[in-house]
Amino acid sequence: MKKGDKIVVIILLITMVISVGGTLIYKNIIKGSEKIAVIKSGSKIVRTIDLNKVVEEEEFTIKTENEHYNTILVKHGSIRVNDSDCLHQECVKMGEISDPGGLIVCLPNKLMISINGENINGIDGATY
Amino acid sequence: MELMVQLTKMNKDAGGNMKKTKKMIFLSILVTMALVIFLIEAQIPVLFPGMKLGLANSISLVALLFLGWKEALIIMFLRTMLGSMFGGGLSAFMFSIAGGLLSNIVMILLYKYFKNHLSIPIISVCGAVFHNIGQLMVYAFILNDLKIYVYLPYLLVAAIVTGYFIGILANILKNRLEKIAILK
Repeated sequence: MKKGDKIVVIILLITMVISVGGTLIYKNIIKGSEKIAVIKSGSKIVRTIDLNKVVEEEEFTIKTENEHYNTILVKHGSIRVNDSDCLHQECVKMGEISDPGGLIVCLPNKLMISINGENINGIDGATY
Repeated sequence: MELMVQLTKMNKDAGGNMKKTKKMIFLSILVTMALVIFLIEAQIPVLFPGMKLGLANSISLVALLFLGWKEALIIMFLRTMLGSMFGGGLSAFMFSIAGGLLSNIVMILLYKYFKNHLSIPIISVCGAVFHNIGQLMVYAFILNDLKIYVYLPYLLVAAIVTGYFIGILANILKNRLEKIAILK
């Protein structure tokens, strides 16, 4: 090991700590009792589903502008991509996600599924 | 006498051309190697989606050590272009070129200015780390969402491990190539 190596290793360790810390903080912020799956295609939200309220399994297809598709399977408490026409099938391989902060991405089809712990799009209930 | 001068001149020119040709052929061999490694590597299953060994980048690194920064960039560019032609398409090209460019620039700068203070595996680790950061940057831009950065810790760990491995590999390859007389 040369002299400069140590400096780089220290910088890398700091970067690691920052990124792990950032992820943990993000997961803490997003934590909540609810499970709202947000499905985004491109930069607009296509659908939001409350995973705790899903009773029956549901399968639906989301199409992109240029006729590519992802088939999404929703169960009680979890969501996954069942089928896709993208090349590497990485969205399918990611399996199902069920915790707030979970994320499935299909880059070729610009699809993103994330789970929020709280409903951001409006207040469901409030007490005074 | 005049003929002799002309002949030697021609010889010199031929020598220059020879060098150029040799370099061109060596470059194309390197590109081919990188492409084949890239294609084989695409078939290897990975632990985590989006992770890769990045073996093809070792060729770029060898080119940087052996030939120079221009050649490293050329190899990276050609390899990504051909690689996405063989499988991946335009979007894959955009993702890889962003990561490849950023990582190569980082490695080139580190090698140019801190050659005496940094060992090759560490330079390679830095390249791998910036490869992932660059790719996530493009992903975040395309998806219009910064959430994708939750993958960064996983990718950083992977980058450090694979980068170190690739660096050692590139070092060995460079030492072997230096012994080949034809390349001198």
